Amino acid sequence: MDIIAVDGLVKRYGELLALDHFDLHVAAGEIFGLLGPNGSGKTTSINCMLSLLAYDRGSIRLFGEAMAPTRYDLKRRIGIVPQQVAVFDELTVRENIDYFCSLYIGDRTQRRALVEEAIEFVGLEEFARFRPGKLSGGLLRRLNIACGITHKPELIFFDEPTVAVDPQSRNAILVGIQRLRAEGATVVYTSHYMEEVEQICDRVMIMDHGRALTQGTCDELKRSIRTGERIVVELEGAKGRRGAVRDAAPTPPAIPERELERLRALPHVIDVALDGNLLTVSCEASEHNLTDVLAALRAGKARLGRITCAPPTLNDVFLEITGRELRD
Amino acid sequence: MWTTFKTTVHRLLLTPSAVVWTLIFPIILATVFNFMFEPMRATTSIEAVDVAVVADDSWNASPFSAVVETLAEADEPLIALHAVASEQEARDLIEQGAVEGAYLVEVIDHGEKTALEKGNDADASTASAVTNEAAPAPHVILAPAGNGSADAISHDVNRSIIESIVTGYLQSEALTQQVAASNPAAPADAEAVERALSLDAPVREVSLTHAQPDAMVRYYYALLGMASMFAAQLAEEHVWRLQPMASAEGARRAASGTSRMRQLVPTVGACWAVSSAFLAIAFGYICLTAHIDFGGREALCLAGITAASLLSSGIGAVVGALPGKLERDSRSGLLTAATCLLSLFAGLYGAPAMQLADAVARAFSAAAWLNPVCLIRDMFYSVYYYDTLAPFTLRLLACCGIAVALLAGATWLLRRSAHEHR
Repeated sequence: MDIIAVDGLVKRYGELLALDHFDLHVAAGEIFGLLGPNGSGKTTSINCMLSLLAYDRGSIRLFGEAMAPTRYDLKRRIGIVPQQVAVFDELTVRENIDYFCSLYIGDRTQRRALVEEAIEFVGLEEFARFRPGKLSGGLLRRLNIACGITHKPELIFFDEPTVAVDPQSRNAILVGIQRLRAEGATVVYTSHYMEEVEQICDRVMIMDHGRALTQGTCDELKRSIRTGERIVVELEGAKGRRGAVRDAAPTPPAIPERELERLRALPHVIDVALDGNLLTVSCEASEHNLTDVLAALRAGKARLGRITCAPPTLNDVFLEITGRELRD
Repeated sequence: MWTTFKTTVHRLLLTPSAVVWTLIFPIILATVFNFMFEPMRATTSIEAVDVAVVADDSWNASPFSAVVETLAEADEPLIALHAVASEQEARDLIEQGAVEGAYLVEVIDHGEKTALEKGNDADASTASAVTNEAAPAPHVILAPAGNGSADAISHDVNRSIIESIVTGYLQSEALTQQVAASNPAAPADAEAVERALSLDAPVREVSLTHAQPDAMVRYYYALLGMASMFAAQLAEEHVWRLQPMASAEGARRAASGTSRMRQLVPTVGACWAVSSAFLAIAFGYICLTAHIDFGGREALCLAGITAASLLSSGIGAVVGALPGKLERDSRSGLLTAATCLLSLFAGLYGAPAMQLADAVARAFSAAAWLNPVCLIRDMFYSVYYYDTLAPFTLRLLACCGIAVALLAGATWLLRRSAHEHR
């Protein structure tokens, strides 16, 4: 059964079409990644699902039932971890967790046990009496998560929970999310960190301009794009410096332009880029890409150093689908 | 709901701005008022008037000496006596300014002085009484009259006090003699004699108000009105924070399993409780430190404070629940400006403001009901002045009624709020 079933959702802010017939289906027990550039409609879609926003058209069903602002029975089964740390500065860690849990669970005895469990889950035992002002960024993020999961929700929305967090805390958060899934929760996860999404998400949707552009597992998405392989060659003896700023005497390129043109003319080659002595050749999926590229370089008498060959990343998928132009 | 109430109280007590504006500020303003008004109160209180008495045998034998000594020994003495041996010594003290007058008892030759007379000499004037026979009679010597300046007013008041004491006594004495002449048995009735000799026997004091009128209390009542309005900021901030677009925790609460109504009620309740407590402390300070009279109805005043806090919480809740992108600082500024403006029309800022407030009240009597500061001020006013509690009850109910209407409005507004992009 789909825990989330969103169909044909339309949301307008005046003239701006924020969601354009947006569809989303998330199965029980999934960690679902929602990706998209800034302003693509990720947060708007989540706010609509949480009934924080009214929408113009479409339907939202959670747990198989129509979601509405007064469906507190459904809301009690949902947890939210917003992008901003949403806690009270005047309360201690334990008081914050208890307060937000009280919005879902009235029984004090039951709540007390859940609060202690949540504190332990995010590893804040030593800081339970601290106020948020005394916590580091990573600890604050963990407190933010604890406030969203204490009541043991069946569906949890994580909106960029690892922003400005060090690698250790990030890893702890990701491991925690996987534990929540293992305990039976369904997770919707938004992030701009592609490696995180690749690491934990079962399925991913890339959206832009309020529409779902593509969705599937990470492997399915990688296979769906034109780029099948990326060959990176370090050229030896090159005079060019990577990322060098142009000065009065222009540095000659590491490889002549005609050799680059020869590479571009190879079958399956999509793009060739030279940055200093680092040559990157993006190719469509093919069995002969590496041999073809190396043969062309040798023919041009290039001195080759280290060579790596890698499949496309989720980042490649994202950029190819949403474009490379800058967003706000 | 209880956890929300408790948490909000906890947060309010730890919010410096809440404590400063609702508790510290009225106390500071009351202290300032106290320093401003204390000299004015001092000038209106009556201090004992210094009077010399020529304590010779005639004085000691006269019943007038007993009357004068009673007045001098009262809890709040009207006169302070300075015994001297002779009339000349008394005149010297008057000349030195040590006393405002002198009493002496001596035999009057009524051929010489036939009426209450004031002497023509520049140093002092003399008054005595008409008596029908040569008997010892009270006699008063007064310091010269003042020159009409502001400082001389209290001097002239003192002169008239000294003079009226002896005049009143002589009138009573004459009355007793007349009664004795018409009814010889009457002097045997000690109570009747005492009544006749009593200075205020023919006077019955009546009061049109519940308490002694005091012009200063209006400022303190207006101050309580202003402090109540400042307390509106508590509800304004905490209701605003319930809105999903206001903050991340607002969004988190709006998306939670508790309805907004069930969050609004304990939140406003907590603001009401805290503002009531803060205002009660300020009220206690005003009572105990500034010695402001609330007509002995302090318990009713606490009920009034509770109603005033409810009204301010209602106002704050509506401002906090207003839709739109108005930031918290703008809402707070709006409330502060409104509080200051409404306090002006409640007469808080001194005599000219009070005159303006009175003029507005005369021209538009409804303004006193529409301006919350005026309404709260008048609520305390009515508990202070009126014998009946009807005007107080009416205003208390008005505060509660308006507050309930405002809270209903805040609930309606809050239920409509959404997490629109800012």
